[in-house]
Amino acid sequence: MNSMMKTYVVEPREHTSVEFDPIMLHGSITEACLTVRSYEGEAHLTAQHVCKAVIAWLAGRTEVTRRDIRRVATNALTVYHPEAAYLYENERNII
Amino acid sequence: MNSNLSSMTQPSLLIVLAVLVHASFQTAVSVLTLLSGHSFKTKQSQAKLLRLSIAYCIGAFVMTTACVITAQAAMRALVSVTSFSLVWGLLGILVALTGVAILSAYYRKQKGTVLWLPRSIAVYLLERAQKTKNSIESTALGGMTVIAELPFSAALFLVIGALTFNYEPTTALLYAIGYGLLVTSPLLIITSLIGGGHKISQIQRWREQNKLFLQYSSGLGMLVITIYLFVFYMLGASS
Repeated sequence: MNSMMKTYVVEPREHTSVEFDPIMLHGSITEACLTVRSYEGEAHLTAQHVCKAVIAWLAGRTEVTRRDIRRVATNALTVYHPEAAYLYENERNII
Repeated sequence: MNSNLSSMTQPSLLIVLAVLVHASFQTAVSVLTLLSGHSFKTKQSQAKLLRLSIAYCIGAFVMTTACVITAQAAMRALVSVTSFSLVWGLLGILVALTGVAILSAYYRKQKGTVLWLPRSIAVYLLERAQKTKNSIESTALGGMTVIAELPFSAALFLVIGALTFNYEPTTALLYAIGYGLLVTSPLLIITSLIGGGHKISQIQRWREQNKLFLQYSSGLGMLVITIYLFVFYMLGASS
């Protein structure tokens, strides 16, 4: 039953929410891995693992924030690729 | 009067100090990091990344040199209508205020290396870095970051302008070019590190770990320049 529930990502500033999109998360994780010179296959595989971990965490949750997803994804990514995790966590804190 | 001043002043140490302070500014480095990161994300070749980075460095160098030449012209005009000691005094105050601003507000108090820049400008530079596809855009981006840094670097440009405008045009131009090259050297070092296989995360981690050192050394460097200006130039010019 829980796996059928949709999870919405809340945008607190805009008072809106959008449905969680694993493809978007997969893209972001892949980009973070490519930025630290991972091979493309490795980057996609890592992104798959991270997406699985995030989806498992989302089970039973109907509303989360982007910050929650980023935190959980960073924790999962740290296991597979610490350098990519560092950049993924800090990509908005460079300038 | 100008020739007396020219023989009186010994600007080498001050120029070296100004170069060191200016070279530790981080806006251009941040944008270069973003530019390189985006090139990796979009799977561009190493050769293209190198082209874009070098073009970016050239843009920053040209704009820095142009700013020094402009400052030399501004100082020439200013000194023709007022006394030199007043100019040094005003410059000293400007450098001191900039130093205090650097010490207090160069980095935002949050994780990473988030700079003082207004968020709209930071977002604009971020978007430009992501949209940069060819060398011309990259050169323009390099120039743009030098302009964005002006609130903190203008005082240094004016000091260098005041120190060098008196020289023969060729010598003054050489000083401007030399200053531009030295101030751009951190960008060239980062370009060579990335070209040599270092990961952006390693560079960014180093920047984050050393941001307070860079902030305080450049802020205190500004204050040292202020003291130097007051003691050796302003008082020297008035005595």
